[in-house]
Amino acid sequence: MNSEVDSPLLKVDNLNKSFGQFIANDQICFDVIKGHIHCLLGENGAGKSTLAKCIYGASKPDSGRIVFKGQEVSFSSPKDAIRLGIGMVHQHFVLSEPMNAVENIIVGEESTGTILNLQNDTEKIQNLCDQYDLTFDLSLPVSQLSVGEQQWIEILKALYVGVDLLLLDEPTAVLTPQEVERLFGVISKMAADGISVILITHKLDEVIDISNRVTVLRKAQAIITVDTDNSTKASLAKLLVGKEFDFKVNKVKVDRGAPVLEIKDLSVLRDNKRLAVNRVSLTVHEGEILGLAGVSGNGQSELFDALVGVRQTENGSIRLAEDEITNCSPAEISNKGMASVPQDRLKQWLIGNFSVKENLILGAHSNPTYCSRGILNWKNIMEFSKEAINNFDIRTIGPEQKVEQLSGGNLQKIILAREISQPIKTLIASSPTRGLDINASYYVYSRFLEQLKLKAGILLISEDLDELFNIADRIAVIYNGSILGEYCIEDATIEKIGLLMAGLKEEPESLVQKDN
Amino acid sequence: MYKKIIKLPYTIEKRKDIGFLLSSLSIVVALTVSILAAAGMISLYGEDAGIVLKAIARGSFGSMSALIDTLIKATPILLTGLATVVAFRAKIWNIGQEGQLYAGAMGATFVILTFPDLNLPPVVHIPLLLFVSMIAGAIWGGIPGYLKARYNVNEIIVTVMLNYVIQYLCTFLLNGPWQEPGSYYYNTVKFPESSFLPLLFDTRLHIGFLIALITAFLVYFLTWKMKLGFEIRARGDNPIAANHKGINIQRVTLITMLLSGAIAGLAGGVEILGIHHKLIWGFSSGFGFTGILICLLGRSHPLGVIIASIFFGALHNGSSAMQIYSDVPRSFVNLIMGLIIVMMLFWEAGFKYRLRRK
Amino acid sequence: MLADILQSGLIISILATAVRMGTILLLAAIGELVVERSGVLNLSVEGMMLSGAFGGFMGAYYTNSLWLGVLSAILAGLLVSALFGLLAVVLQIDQTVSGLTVNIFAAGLTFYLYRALFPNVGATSIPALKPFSQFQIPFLSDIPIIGKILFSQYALSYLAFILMLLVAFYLYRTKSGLILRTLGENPRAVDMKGINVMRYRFLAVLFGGMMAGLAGSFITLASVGIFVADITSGRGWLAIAIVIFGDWKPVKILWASLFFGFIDALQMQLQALGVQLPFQLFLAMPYILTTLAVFLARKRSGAPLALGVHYVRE
Repeated sequence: MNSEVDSPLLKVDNLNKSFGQFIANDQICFDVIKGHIHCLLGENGAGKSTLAKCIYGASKPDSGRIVFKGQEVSFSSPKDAIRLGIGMVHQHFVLSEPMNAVENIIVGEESTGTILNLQNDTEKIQNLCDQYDLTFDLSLPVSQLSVGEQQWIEILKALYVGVDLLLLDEPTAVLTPQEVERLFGVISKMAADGISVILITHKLDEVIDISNRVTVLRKAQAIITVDTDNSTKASLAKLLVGKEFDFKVNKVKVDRGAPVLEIKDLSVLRDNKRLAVNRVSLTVHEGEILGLAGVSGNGQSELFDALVGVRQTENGSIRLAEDEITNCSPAEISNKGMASVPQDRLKQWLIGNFSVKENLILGAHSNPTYCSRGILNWKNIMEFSKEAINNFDIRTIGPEQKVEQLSGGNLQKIILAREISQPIKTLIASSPTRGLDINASYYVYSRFLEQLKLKAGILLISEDLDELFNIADRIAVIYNGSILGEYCIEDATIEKIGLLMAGLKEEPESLVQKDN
Repeated sequence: MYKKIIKLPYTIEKRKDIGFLLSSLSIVVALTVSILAAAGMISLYGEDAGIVLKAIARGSFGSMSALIDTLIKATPILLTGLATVVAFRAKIWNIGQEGQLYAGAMGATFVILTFPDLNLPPVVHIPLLLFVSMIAGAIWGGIPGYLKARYNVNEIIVTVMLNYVIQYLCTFLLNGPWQEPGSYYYNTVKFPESSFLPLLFDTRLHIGFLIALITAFLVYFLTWKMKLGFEIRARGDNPIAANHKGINIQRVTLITMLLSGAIAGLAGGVEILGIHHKLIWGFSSGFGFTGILICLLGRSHPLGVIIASIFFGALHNGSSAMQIYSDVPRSFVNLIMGLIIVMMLFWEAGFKYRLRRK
Repeated sequence: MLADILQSGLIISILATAVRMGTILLLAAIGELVVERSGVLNLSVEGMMLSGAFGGFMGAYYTNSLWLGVLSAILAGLLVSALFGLLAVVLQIDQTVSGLTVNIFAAGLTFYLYRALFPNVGATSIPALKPFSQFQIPFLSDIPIIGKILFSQYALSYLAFILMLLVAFYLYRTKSGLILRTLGENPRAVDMKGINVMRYRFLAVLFGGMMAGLAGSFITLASVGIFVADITSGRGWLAIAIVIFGDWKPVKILWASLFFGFIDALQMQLQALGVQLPFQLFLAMPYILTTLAVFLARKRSGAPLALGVHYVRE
């Protein structure tokens, strides 16, 4: 027993990984003991995913060592890692929908016979299911299974091959509370059977509920590894969220006006028919910025999609000033005065093969300024483009350059230029300064503030607390599809917001120790 | 991605885009390789490649008469090429140009045969007939267009099927109610003179070529200067983003197929009014399919299509001359064109990869 | 009574022809099924069939052996599909453009080679060979009615049935078939297991080519014994439509192929049936019905989810 504590199952030693200038993992050190459930706790951008990728073989660290079962390892692909006994369950499942659980698990495995012996394999898998108390129909096509059940298939894939260490990436993001409970039951049993688990999460509840030890990651560094027994939500939250920042933007307070965007009781489904947004109500007034904080995956993109008209809503209503815009088309909503600055830029909102100037007027190309009697007025369009490139500091060779050649930051600026070049009533922005440098970010903020003076209301969805604290008037927090809380900027602190983002509703002082 | 048989000190990297320079280089390489292959095939056949190639060149551009013939041959495929450009720019795979061309020819024929005593001056008669061919072609293209827009039915299969259907219809008509009385062949009576397309500058070149050039300009104007063209290109390049920004994809789909069919129909009308002056079986030697070829060769751009169609017309012309000097069969031309396109695709894709030192 | 007997004789003849024409389509469709199940949309089936028809004819003509002809047909289809695979799977050029291009190229190549090798083809003298004759299966072909329809076919028809069964077995009962099907639905799932997506798809494409080539040889070697331009008459496109109409399932594809074969057979026997409608209508029937078929099949759910989409490892 002692030797197992002395030589941990997994030891990560000074692991570094960067992507160009961006440092994702900075001298990470931690280890995992056999039979433990070990949490990697951190908010997005902290470096969890990159670290996980290095451990399970999808990525090669720039420097540092990974020691597994006493041997230093270097993986060139996930297959190598699996062979040694490290498996990974991704956030986005990799399943063949029309085929059933058994087929998905056995496909391509060495133990699968050249002539399929489905009965045999089904039995084997059924045994595994019984061992871990997983009850679901192995013969149903995956598309007919619930999300929780689909996740079990991913876990079974690893168990079937036989892993000693299983990584789970934000597994509860798409589960109902009941499903989460069942999942934790399964994980506990696995740990009891000697299979170690690394659980990647941003949720404090989960860490306290189930882990033996937790490594807290923040801004690419592993801050500390502690025993969960010796921690409280409060103590973890402090580590998770860190201290205050330094700079501030000069924000002149604008008088708050009438409500310009009213979201009432809104529910929106994910692609897999699960509830992403759960009866959310928010109000944005003229002249104010309402920030919506939260780790990505808690319903923000579905909320954004519903607001701009790209996704159906199940329930509730959206009002833009006087107009009811629930489930209207994107064009209608845009015409009524809503501007949107989305997150996933290139694929869904820009045409890569089109030039800068063409993208700048996409959506507005029917306007009389740019088009009369079916013929485009390229002179005006060119003028507007040059102005926009200038005003928004878009780094490009010229208005004719194809947009797919530009960097992410510039794509964002194009969208910004496109959206706020005409009068708007409300702007919905989702991570608008991601990938932008300081100057560009400030520029974006200044344009936003400008719009406030013009009586627009802004809903700013962001994971970046610095940003929200810089320019928002109020900050709400979304977690698991619901609004957990809302503060005026004067009352908000990074700690309070950070806790809400991690799912903690109560005040830190009122928390008790875990084993009470 | 590739099984490493030999361990090289390089890795293969894929570029995103190859830029104008490499794109042009790929065409040059493609042409060079094809000409070498052509020379090779001719030699293999036992002929002197040099003589044959010279004969082709002389036959296509060597004299005024040859040049005229080249342009005459280029006319229908220029039009079907343009029809393809419109559709392909929207990433709608219209393979039905042949059928739409037939529809156009049959439409014009229908008007002539149904109203034999219309004594219209050519300046009215001809535009009327050409207009009818465009409508007929538009209808034949509109059927797959509607099915695609409304029901997302695969346009490739429908357009290919409709090609066969309308050609059989044509055979039926030419062997039945439309057949010239007393004739054993599949053709109609000769059309009235007022329907003959006038000739240019006292040569055999009819104004069809001019019409085709004008159409090329109009397609250019549509694609890059008009709102509809903007939406067509948007549908082709990123239908999701286009939809998000308010473009009605179904509407664009239908209109694109109507336009594409109309231009192909025009090709049919022009060909029978300009050359044959009757509807005769076999008036189209695969003009529709060649149009697809032309579009691919011309990189889906009207200017490229003009060049490619003249090039193809030249080859076709030249191949007749080639027959005088050698035994190489005429179908050589089709093969060469096919080879050029394959080479073009291959080299363009090939240039996307580059070797990087590890 | 005589009329009745005559009638039944005619019907048997039609059904027998239906099986014959249907199995040609079946061969090509089965090949395309495997290709599409792996996630690749191969539109060059017509070109591959034409190459097979040509290659088969040439092989048989020069070696005086029909079976060697069949072998060369398979080789021809293989080579053309290899070109398609190179463009669409390896170089990841748009699959539609690749397919159409290879079609055009194959058509040009076959016709050119034919003309080059037979320069003196005219209306009077056309190179011909003695095609396959039907192979009567002993005992079974003596069964009244059914014997004539099912068991007096060409060897290639029996081969088609056998191949169909083999492909069905492969797809649903073998490890490799499971991988192939998964490839068509979610190639990433297969990639994550360390299997080479590109290699699998390329091999699937080659198989499709061989089948299409075989189908093409059937046309020249088992029916007419000559080769002319466009001898395939769009059958390659029918095969693609049959895969859609058969919802990507082998048994349904079998029925769809036989149905189209039946329409073909009907059209051939029209005069004998005494039908007054113009014969061109019946010639056009398969194509009209195919259009109808793809329209009716528009809600078919069997399409492989990753069909036509290039796989790029993120």
